[in-house]
Amino acid sequence: MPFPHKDLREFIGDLESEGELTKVTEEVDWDLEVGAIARRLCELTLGRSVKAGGQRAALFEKIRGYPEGFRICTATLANYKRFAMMIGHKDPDVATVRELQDLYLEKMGRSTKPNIIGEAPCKENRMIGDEVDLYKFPAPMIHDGDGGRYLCTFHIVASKDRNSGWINWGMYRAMIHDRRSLSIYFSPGQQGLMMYQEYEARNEAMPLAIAIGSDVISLFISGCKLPVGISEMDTAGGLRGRPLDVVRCETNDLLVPASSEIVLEGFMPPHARLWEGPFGEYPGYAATPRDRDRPVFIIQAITFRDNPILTMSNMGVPVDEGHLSYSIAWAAEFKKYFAQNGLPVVDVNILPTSSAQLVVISTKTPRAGIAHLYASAAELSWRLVGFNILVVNDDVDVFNPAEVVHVWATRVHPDRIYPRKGPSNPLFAWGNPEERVSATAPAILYDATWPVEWPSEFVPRKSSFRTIYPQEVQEKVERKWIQYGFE
Amino acid sequence: MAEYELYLVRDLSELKEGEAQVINVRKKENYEMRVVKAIVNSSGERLPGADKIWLRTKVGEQLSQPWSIKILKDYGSLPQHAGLY
Repeated sequence: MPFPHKDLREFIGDLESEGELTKVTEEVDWDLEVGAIARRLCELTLGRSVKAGGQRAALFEKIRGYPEGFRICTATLANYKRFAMMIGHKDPDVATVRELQDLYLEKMGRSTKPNIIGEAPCKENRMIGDEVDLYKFPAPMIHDGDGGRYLCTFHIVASKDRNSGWINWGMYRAMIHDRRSLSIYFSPGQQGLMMYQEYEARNEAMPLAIAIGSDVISLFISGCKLPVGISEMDTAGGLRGRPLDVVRCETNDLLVPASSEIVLEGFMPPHARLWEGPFGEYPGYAATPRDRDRPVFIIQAITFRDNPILTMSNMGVPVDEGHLSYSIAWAAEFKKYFAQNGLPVVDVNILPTSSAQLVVISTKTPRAGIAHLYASAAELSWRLVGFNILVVNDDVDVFNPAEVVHVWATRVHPDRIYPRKGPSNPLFAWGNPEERVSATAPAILYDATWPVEWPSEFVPRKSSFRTIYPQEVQEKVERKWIQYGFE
Repeated sequence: MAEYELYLVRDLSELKEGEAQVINVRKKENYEMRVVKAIVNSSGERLPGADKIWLRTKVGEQLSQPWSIKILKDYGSLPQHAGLY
């Protein structure tokens, strides 16, 4: 199995040979049909590989009204096996979440400068100035009721810090207004927005580029929450184990992956706002109503590969590629941060089935109130934006959703549920209208650890196969399992 | 007959039936946002020869019955009308 994949096409080929991708040759409609198929794929897959009962990723090869060769790829990283293939696990079929977290941390600790090359696949075709026409690409109407056609849902938004020159890659949804413009949605505190505000304060336009259909590692990295000043392209190189080829844009000096399928270049004018949304987002709801306060991206040039592939993510109820891949990355980062700050963490998992909104932490409990220390630490690490937190004892396997639900339902005393106010996210469905606008919807800390002040005999004995039977009985039952007639 | 869509900012009261007004609509054909002067009506019968327009709430829900629209003037796409390029 190749690693790293040199471009999206090599990854697609790898998925196909692993039985993880279907090439759909039947004509499909960009207007809702592609979105509906993608949504169904994610909801039926629930993170499982095809061998384990999940559905394949899809490459749509014939789109209504578009020339042959203009394609859409979706559900690219929507199960653990595909994530494992992306990140270079030696045996993706059996990769565990803990292994994937460890591999992520090991590789993210490296940093490799990119190769800046001259000619690149993404320059095979060009539209400049008045030739620019976003409708040449089969941008899907993903959900019924979306505010427009979302060309950018699994992509890289490149912008440069006005003061330091640091180039940030982020992933912010973008909706077409007309042939030359899109509106971009930034959540409060996102680095792309902070950069734009620096330009806007000086009444300057911010140069911007969007790369669609880049290599999967670069796409993944652009959605990770890296600290301010850290280069996603250097991190992508580190994760790849070799430098990433990048290329300068035609009309500005931003850098994007050279293998990208489509690159949009242009600028965001200061003080320009237009309508955007609603859009079905990753928490599983279209919780941000149509809003006229979204910055605008004016396109000056488009370059693209022959037969371009548009990468698309259909966000909604779990489990889509965002839920799955970022739950691995964010949980790994939390675990590292907790350990670095002296907390007795055992494991951290963010359940993809919670729309990546529930952080489950297993811990030793050397003192009372340990759950609050985790919540405070999580809030201090700039990565926490309104996650709910469930803290459990170290007897709980946080990677087992059934066990997590059981503990949540049986160990949390109502007096140990704590709403926590802080920076939040307008996408969170539980926020009231005012909280969504001001991004202040509180998160909840559930303390499911047994109180340390309880006498040990008062802690209920867990009644499970592993805890309630003597070792020799467990071994006997396991040894004779097939003999009993079970599988 | 062309079909359009319109997002209500608040509620139906912002649409003045039978009066010319400037509104943002999108054509169902490609969903481009246009700014137009138009007359809208909740009943197709009172605007003979008009096109169909579907109304959506600000969270995207489509109202069950379409209205009719007669476009009097097209000012261009939303960004062009806003003078952004």
